[in-house]
Amino acid sequence: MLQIKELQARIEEKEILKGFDLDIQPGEVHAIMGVNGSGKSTLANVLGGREEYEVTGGSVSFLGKDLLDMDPEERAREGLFLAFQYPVELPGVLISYFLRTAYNAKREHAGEKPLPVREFNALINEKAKLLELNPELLKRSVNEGFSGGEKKRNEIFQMALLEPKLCILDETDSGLDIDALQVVSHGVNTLKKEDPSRSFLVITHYQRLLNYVVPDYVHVMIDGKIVKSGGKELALELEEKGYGSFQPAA
Amino acid sequence: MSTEARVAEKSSEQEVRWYDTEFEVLSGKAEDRVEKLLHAHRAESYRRFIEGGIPTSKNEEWKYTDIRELETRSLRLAAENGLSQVDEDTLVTTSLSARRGESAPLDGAILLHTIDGYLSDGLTKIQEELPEGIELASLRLSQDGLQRAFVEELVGEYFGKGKTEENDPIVDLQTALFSDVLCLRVKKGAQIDQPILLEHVSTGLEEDTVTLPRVLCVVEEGASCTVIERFRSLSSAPGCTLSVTECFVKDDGNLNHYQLGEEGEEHLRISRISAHQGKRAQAKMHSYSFGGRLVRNEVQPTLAGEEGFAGMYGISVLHNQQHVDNHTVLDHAVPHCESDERYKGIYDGNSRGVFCGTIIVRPDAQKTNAIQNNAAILLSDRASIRTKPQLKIWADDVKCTHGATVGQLDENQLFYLRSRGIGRRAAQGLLLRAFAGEVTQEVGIPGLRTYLEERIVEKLSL
Repeated sequence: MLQIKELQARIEEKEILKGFDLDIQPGEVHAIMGVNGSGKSTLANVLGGREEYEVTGGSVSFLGKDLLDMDPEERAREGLFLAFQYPVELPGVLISYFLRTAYNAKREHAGEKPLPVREFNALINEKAKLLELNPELLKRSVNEGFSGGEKKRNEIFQMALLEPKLCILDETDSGLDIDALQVVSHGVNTLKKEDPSRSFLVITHYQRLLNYVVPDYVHVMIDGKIVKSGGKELALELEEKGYGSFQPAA
Repeated sequence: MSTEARVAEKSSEQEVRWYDTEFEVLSGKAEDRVEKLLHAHRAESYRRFIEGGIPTSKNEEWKYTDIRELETRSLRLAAENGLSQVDEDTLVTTSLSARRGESAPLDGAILLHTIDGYLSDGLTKIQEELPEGIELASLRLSQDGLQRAFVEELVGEYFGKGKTEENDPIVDLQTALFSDVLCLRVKKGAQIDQPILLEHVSTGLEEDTVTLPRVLCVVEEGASCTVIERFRSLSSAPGCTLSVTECFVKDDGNLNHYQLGEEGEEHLRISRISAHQGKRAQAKMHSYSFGGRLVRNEVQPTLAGEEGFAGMYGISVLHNQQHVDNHTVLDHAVPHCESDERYKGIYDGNSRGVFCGTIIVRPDAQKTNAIQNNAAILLSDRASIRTKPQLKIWADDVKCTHGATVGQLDENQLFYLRSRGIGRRAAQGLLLRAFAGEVTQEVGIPGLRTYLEERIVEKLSL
């Protein structure tokens, strides 16, 4: 699904990723844990294709294609989905219109015809039900005036609609109360069940989310690379001992 | 000193300008009462105009828009021969009431054309099919009888009364030289649902011609109507259009006026729309600019009756070397009125936008509530916008707010859209449509709103 080799990246003049390796196979759930500043969000942004980040070395292969060679929109159409840590507000852009444009861009990429408005509306109503999303939200502008929980839920909703092959969740748990966390996790697990070959990369600071979205692998990231990998029990170990025990020698 | 003497004096000092020659030709034409009445206006306007001539940037009102070319170019008035050389049936198929794909932007509109400023003969046919409560006639096409009497009545009562207290040299020039005027009246209580679409066509059959469309529009007590004036060119010839539209909205009347600038990109146009409003009268004036090289939209509502409302909404979408100046003067003359002014611009290439919004609140106009907002997005680092709000408030119990913003498309928003598979250009289009939304939402005709939104995206090739 995704092979990251020796990835190096910087923003402005600051080196952030310093030789990052990761291999995700279809159907696997990987969690990356690390403190603030370890490079977790940089990894998500580089994979999403944000232009402020400059890749200075290494390679990323997504479903056999060179991911780094693609524009952000191409990555999305090929099946990569990035759930934002801070979803952006788009005043005046109606959710329904935004989703239809995104959905049809993907269909067009796959050589399919755009879905007629009526069928599309039926589809989003169905997905909204599945994720227990208030259908009233669909009549509003994208994320405008949404609460933190509503924004994150809207991210998962978009994920459900666009049916990606690889979902990257960038600190989706940050700022969520326990109820919202459960709803979001339920959404992720539903998507996992819906397509068993779908893979997930969950980026988080805390172990909390991993109680609900159970990972196959946990990686500890410090200073731009993975310093330890293990099974889900590694998350518990981190929770107990803290990141301090993994700090590389200065 | 008589006008003739002034012309003579001027010509001894300097060369005779194109407008001097044209005025002299027109002077001999006053035949009947209407013409005599209008000629008095022409002579008076011409006299005022030549005192100052074409304004330069020293004139504060013209600081950012340079129209000295109206003085120096060898221009002449467009002849009437465009009327016989242009096939009106062809014009109809490219008008806004013609179907585009599944529907027309203005389905079922009452469609009129001016060709180089002269009302076309199509008017005659339309006059037979007009809905109850509306009267339409042109100066040129009404030679005698009831129509002439109607033109005489409207001209006598309203012509030249729409201006604010300060005289404007361009309006004076237009008044001195125009030769046709469309008179429109919606009678007391009449609700005209069909939009009235007036397409001003510049033929460009000859280069450097000036066309002078003129409209007198009276919405009587409790009546309502929508008037759309669309400016377009049939060729890329560098012509000029100076247009004046005077509207009078009586007590409880309701007017929606649109000016859509879609002329060729070599064209110069200056348009003045004024609205004189009575008690509880509502007027919304919309200005959309897509075409033209040098354009100035002047919108001047006067709230002269209590509890009136004036809305002014504008969008400019420019590229290349285009220059558009939205110049508004809103006069709150009496208490308890509201106004809402929203102008937005999207500027690409080397284009330049100007927004100058004056709000006058007279000493009596207590409890005025006025809102003005101007926002611009610059898509290129060579594009520019100059914004100048001017609030002249003489009353003390009023609410006036104004704001201006200039920015670029937000990279975070763009990335968010792209990360969902929407291409860069489509994402820009989506954001710009959303940006324009606060203005386009005021367009009450769904087909027209869709058309305008599509024009924004189309213009920027997004």
